[in-house]
Amino acid sequence: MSQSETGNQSPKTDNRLLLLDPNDNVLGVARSIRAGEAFPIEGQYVRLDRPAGIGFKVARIAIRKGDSIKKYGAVIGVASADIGMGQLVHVHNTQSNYMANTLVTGTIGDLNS
Amino acid sequence: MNGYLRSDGRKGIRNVTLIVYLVECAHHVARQVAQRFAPQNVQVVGFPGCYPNDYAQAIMERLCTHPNVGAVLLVSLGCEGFNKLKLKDVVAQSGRPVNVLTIQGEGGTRTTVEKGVEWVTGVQAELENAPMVHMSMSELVVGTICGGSDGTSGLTANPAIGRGFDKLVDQGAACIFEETGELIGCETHMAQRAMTPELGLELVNAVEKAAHYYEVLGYPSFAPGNADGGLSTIEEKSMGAYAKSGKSKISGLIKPGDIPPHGGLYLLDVVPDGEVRFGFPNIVDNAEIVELIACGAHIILFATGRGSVVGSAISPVIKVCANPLTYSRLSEDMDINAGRILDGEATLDEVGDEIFELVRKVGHGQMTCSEELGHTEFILTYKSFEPIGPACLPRA
Repeated sequence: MSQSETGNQSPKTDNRLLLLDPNDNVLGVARSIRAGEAFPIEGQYVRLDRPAGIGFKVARIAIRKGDSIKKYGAVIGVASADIGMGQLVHVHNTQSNYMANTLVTGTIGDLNS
Repeated sequence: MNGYLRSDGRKGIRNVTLIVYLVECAHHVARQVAQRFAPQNVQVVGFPGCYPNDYAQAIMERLCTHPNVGAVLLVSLGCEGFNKLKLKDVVAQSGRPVNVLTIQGEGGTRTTVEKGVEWVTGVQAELENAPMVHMSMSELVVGTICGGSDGTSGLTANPAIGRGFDKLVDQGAACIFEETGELIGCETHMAQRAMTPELGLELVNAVEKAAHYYEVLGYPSFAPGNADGGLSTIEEKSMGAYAKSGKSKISGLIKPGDIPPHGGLYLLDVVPDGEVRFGFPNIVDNAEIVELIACGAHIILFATGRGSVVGSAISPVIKVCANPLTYSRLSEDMDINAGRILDGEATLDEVGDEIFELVRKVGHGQMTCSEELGHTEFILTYKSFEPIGPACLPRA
């Protein structure tokens, strides 16, 4: 995926992250990022408190509890907790607006880390 | 491309002999017959239940007269509820060789297996010399499904299949996407792509029906592996899955067993109508693959992130792997590595072109990974559907 296709623009964002739509408040993870590693999002350096594997999402900006989570330009859920910029956005802080994922046991990627 | 011309005018890209068990009690005999012909194109499909079901009967009639099927052997125990004579008549009317063996009448397992082997041996000789005629891309029906999805599915394999679908639709092929339970949250956008506003309403209704169905069941179409792979909600999974449909206008809404009347993009509604009766709508990916094939699909494009290895009876399955890490582990099962997109080694358009080319080659007879490995998974269970309404196929 080229830079123009993903919409990533200056100021600098780590090239392991993909912005899928300009209105999104999350970035897709194209290649794994380790916990504690410093990386830039639009020029601002952040650190993850837990690893983000391929296919996971991190917050592009600070997201408040109750805010919509937007990916592909669409609402894909709602924040169930405050999420700091650059932190993992997943089932521990995100809920469906339709149906809860009652089957879910996993929280952090294993094979994808 | 060349195909096997059938009496209904459709053409097949394979010439499979089906051994059909009409109740689980006849499964072993059917399998024993087929095993004598491995690795030839003799495949086992069937219906496990003892009690009749209109849906299962209709789907089996469609499968036994699928363009990729050349001959059919029905294996009955004898006391099950399946209407084997009606099924036999439908196959016979299509001009295909067909035979029924009833275990209770033939005298048991060994006798029935021997009679089955004898019949199939004769038929195989006939099928080997079957003539082929020219077949164009516009005569092709292609279905798509995603399974074992993770967060990469919606970034690579699904949108790449969408690009492939756009090219196929442009060439006049009929392309089918499905699983309305995994389009929850996409219904408004999808309605805007419908050929007519009335069809748009039908598309919205189909997704709302699915949402209600899953609500009654108490959980969405979302497996633990989806979350382990980075997907957080059913809406997120849906958005990724929806990308498989590409950007074409939507020509119609069909149900299992409905054959697209002409080229274009179709949504297959796989969630049963009426009250929730027979449990989970699609217990596993192969149930959906079977329904796509019952709609005439010659080839299935299967997007996977976590790594599904399945194929199918009747129609070849092309596996498009979304995740580069999965691809490195399961490369023998994967036809296309869409994960290269994440490594910056290919674009969505390039992988879309690759998918289109592979569809053409598989249409020409090239074997897919799952075919080479002998995968012929099949499952058919109880369901019930109402016929589609008049707004579902605007140009028909």
